[in-house]
Amino acid sequence: MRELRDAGRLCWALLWRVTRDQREKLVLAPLGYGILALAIMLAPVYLPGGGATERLREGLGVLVGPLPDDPLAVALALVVVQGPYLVGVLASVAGAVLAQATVTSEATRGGLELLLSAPYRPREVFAAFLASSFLLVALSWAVLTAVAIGLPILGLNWLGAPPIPSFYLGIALFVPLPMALWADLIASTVALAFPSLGLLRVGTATTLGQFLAIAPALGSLLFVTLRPEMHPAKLGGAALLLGVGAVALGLALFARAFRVEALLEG
Amino acid sequence: MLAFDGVDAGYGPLLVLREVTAEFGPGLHVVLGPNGAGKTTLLRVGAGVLPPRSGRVRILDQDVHRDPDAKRHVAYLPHRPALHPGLTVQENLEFWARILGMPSGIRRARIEGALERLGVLDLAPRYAGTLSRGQAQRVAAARALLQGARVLLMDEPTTGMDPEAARTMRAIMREMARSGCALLVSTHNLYEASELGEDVLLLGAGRVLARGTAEALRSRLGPRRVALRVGGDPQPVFERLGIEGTREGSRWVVEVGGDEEVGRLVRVLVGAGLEVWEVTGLGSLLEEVYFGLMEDSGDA
Repeated sequence: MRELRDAGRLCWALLWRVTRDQREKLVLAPLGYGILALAIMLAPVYLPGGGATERLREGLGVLVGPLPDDPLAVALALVVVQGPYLVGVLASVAGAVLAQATVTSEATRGGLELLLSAPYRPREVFAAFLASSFLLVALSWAVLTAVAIGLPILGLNWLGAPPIPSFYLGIALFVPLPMALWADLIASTVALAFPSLGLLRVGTATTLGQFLAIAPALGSLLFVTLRPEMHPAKLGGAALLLGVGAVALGLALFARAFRVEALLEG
Repeated sequence: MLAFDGVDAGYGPLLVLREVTAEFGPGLHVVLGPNGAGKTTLLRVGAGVLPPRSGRVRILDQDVHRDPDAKRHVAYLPHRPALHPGLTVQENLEFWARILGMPSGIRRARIEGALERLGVLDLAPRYAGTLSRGQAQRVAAARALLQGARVLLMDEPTTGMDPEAARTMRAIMREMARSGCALLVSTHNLYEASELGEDVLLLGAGRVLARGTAEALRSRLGPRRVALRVGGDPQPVFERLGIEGTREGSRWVVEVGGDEEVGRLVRVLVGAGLEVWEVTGLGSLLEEVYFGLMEDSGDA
């Protein structure tokens, strides 16, 4: 109980530090990503009709019944079927960036060494790091999802689009969260345990750590783009389950990476 | 206050500290050694950052690695100041005060008190990323003062500072030590160790090679080299005393056993009618000790 209280206090202090450090960027960044996702998703609505949007509309029809061939239905299909995966990619990018702001920056600046000298056990420091990082990722996911999925669904319903079944709505809203948590964990693990891997570049602007962090989200977006007619609920359910499993794996990796001797060795 | 009892510590397959046993009471203690001697590891183990593989570290009789509350009595200043550049100096200290669980009512006063004591109160609204190395180290030292710890551990606090900032930092360290706490400072700088060295612990290859004042350590060594400038030829006197002297330019270099022998030599030279203009030890006292002991340990 005492350990939990101590880890909570440390987590709160870390959150305070990140909010002071990042300030309005903490909300503005996911807000910007959300608007970007919305723009990408809704652009095809007004582009000349193509097979992909047609098949997406058909896919959504499996859930809500046949949809008319109008821009409203296409927009709804894009937001509800493809949206969660696009948001997943952007939430993963945000997760990897937040890992940099929380865990990585502490480790590389000597802050971790200092934190370990504070009156806490190493496992409390580990738990506080993880909790603060997860809370920030969850905040980022909430803003992004609200802007790119929640608000458009409300707007489209208001304009007369058919309602989405609540069980699928839950899936659609939560699919990006484990992707973002995975990204946060993997970016942190690579930075702590394999700092040299984190320096390897994939392309010009992405490090190997960042690529591994966002790869599952990119893969799922690619999959839904290539197979838009798949049953959205089955696809979403599978993505959610795989995501939760991946987070469990990421947690185990992070726990292995967080060994005091190894962290201080460099 | 701080006691290491048979401590082994290291990283992965590397054993850095070997059976270190030492106690530190109130006052200023210098941990001196070359790079890789284990200075940083010693301070990390002492601060409760790195757990020892064997042995114990006690602060005020509490095991610092078993009871995290014992760490309240120790403040650690890592080699890097570990300040967040995106936070102001005030916010950096507030972050640490929050980590320590300091009640909000006393936080501000404590922070201002610590900054004022280190003479950096005017830096409070500045972003840490804009500070010089010297300023950042003083702010980090102020952070270390926040918790009112009885033991302060500072890892090479003057490295990278200009001479003036380093001198100010040394004055601050002396002032901190005078307040009744135990202050351990690691350095590989012999001049600094001589300046601070009330108590010098010489570390080599992870072991304590020697400990004491520079003078006490010196007495453990063999002959020391002294340069003399004298009027006339001192060679007959050297021969009479069984000392071998070598001429180097305008001076004579001789090897003598200790301070008493230097005094005797000067008396005999003057007694023989020679004028002694200058007597100079070659290398500082601590420098001789350092290289002598390092050579013995094979770590030089």
